[in-house]
Amino acid sequence: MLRSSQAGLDDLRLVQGFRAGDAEAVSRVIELCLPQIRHVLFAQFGLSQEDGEDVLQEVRIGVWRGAGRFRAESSLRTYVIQIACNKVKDFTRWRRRHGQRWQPMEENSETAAVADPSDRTLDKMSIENALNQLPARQRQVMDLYYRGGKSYQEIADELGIAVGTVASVKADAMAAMRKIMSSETPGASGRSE
Amino acid sequence: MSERNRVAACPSAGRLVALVDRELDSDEEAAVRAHLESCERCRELFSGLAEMAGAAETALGCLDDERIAALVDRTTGRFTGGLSDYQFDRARAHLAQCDRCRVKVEALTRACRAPGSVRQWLGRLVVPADAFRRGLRTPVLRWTAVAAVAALGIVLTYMFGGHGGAPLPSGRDMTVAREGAEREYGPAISMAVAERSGAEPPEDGARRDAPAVRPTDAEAVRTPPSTSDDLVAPRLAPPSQTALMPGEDEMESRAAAAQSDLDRARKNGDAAGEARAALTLASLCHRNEEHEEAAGYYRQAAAAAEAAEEEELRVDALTMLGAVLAEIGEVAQARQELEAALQLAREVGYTDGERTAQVQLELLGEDGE
Repeated sequence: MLRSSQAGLDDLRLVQGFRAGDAEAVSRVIELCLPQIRHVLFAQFGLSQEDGEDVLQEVRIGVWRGAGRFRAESSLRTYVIQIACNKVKDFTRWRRRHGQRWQPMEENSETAAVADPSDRTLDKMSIENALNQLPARQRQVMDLYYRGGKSYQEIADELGIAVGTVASVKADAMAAMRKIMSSETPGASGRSE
Repeated sequence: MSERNRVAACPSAGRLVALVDRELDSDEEAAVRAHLESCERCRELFSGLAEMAGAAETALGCLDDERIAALVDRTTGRFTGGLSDYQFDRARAHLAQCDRCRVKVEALTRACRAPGSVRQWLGRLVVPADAFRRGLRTPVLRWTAVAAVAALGIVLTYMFGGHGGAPLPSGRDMTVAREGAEREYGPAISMAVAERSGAEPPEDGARRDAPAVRPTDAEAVRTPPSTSDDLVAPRLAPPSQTALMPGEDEMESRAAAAQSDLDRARKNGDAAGEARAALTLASLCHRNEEHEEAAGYYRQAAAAAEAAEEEELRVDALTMLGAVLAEIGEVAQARQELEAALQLAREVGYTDGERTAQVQLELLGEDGE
């Protein structure tokens, strides 16, 4: 169906194939982005050949993982380069701490974030934990609003409910999360410090 | 006021949350704010909700890889159709309060400036099709500001269907072509218009311009976009519906087909056919930055359209002639062609053409200043 071997990065079929997680399409995307990935790893971040090849392997894995989830919000190239930047960041952070050959972590960016004391990890964890305990509809509204970056109107349209209902569900969700958080971590109130 | 009345007037928690999220329209917002002034209980509730919302925004609103990529694409003008204006504003507002995401955006912006990437990314702007590159300069990877999206709409429309007796583009075709142009040529176009409007560099814009609160109130949403905004950031269909740009082989074959159509039309005395074929060739040359050759074909198209009494075609040809002349610095002559196009468009009630000519003239006006 898709002659990926000839498709360019801006080829509609390639984008569709990538979104569908089609193996040929994903390989083609990686192939097309390879020169720039290499440039980022070796020229911009100055990785050694050995480290760079390790990170490159992680980038490939990251792109494969991301393929089926791609929403076509960005260009494929920028998306892939972002994955590469993340992997370099994971690598340099790991190297700083361990000073030895890299052993990549699963889902690097997220786990690395948790390990970084400069991040507001406690907040993030407790809020996510509270979010996960919400009833389905409340969680859905919170997800669409915060993670999806959608407006009340867009959420209302998507869920087939009134805009006012979105607001009240969100208010209930926030009250519930506050309650969950204060019962689980006494003193926590969503404040970061 | 009795306690009962005061409580009855209290806004619901939903309205307070909507205020926190700037989702109320300005009248409602003023009313709720006025209530908060006088009701301590609601003030406390509001402040608790605002605190929770801030924490949730920071913890949950972090931008994922794709959103970061989309933000960088849009601020650099590389690909602008992927995010709605609302999502873009929200993402920028998040950046204002999240160092972690901001660092990621800055790193990606730098990484995307890797040497060679611009050429790769704009590679398809350069069409090394020898069939229609006749003694021309090396193509330049830049469209000047005057070649705005509306004009590209014409370029693309004729490049795709303007020859071989194809029907004239309808308003809808033009819109689709324009959207395609924006999607495919987003980088060049957005950069050109940003350059022109004195916009701040994208990476600075992303950092400094991010609003402290989300600009999502109804007023902001209802504000009609300025001309350039309208051109640069239309609400586009997801990039999954139409692929307008052909590959190089197709460009080459279109050029060859248009040339043969032109020869045939002239031989048969078919002025309308000649006009369309000339416009196609002009569009291909224009796309390839072959300005003088493009101007020649546009002139030929305008003259043939006049002979055929194809007035809309003539408007398009004159408009594009004006655009290409402006690009090579022939401003006075460009103005003359554009004014002629505008006048003719008004006379024949060709509103799309009128708008395009108007936009070109406005851009020219800025040039002259």
